[in-house]
Amino acid sequence: MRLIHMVAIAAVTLSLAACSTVDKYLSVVTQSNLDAAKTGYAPVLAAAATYNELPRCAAGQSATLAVPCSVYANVKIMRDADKQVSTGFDQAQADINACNPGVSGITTKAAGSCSALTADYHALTALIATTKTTYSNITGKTL
Amino acid sequence: MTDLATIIADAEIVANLAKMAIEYGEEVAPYVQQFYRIVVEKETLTVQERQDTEAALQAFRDRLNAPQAGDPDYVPPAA
Repeated sequence: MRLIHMVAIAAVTLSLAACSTVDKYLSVVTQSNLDAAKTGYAPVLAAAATYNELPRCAAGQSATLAVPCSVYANVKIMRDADKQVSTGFDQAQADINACNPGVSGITTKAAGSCSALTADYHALTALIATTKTTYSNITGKTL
Repeated sequence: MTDLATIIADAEIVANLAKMAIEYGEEVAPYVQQFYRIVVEKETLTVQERQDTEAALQAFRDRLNAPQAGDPDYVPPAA
């Protein structure tokens, strides 16, 4: 009798642990997290676009507040960084679609997708932070 | 309950975005407001708002990638 009781407790504990794992996957990254990342990045990208639209600095010319100008090499750095961020957004969105959080009866395969989402999202937010720093250094503005 | 470190981090981001809204004006204001709604007010964007944000990101991206005369990737328009 005691053995049956212990097995039952173990089964409940294991099932709770499994639920907790799935909940963790579901609660870590949501569509709103990605939306926040995108809306937060939009002004940063606008600042980069504005920089690109400045006249190019002439040879030997330095940008000043009075006479702002842009450098093609810097623009290229910004474009390359943005391409990586854009790819990161696409990957995170694909992960969210695959994970489909909020739907009950999540499968093992979907749980794996959620695990990929967490890793990809954290990589994305790190990439956005690096890109912001890069853009800030180039534009001289706090982004 | 949201922990204090998260609140401070979110507040710093909102403050920086607000400064950008002042500097860059109306073109970025909607996204600063959306960010605030999502992060602080815990609202969810509508499908339409999400699509509008995607379109705005693409428009900013197109402007960033637009070459100027004299750039190595500039292609002069055909005469």
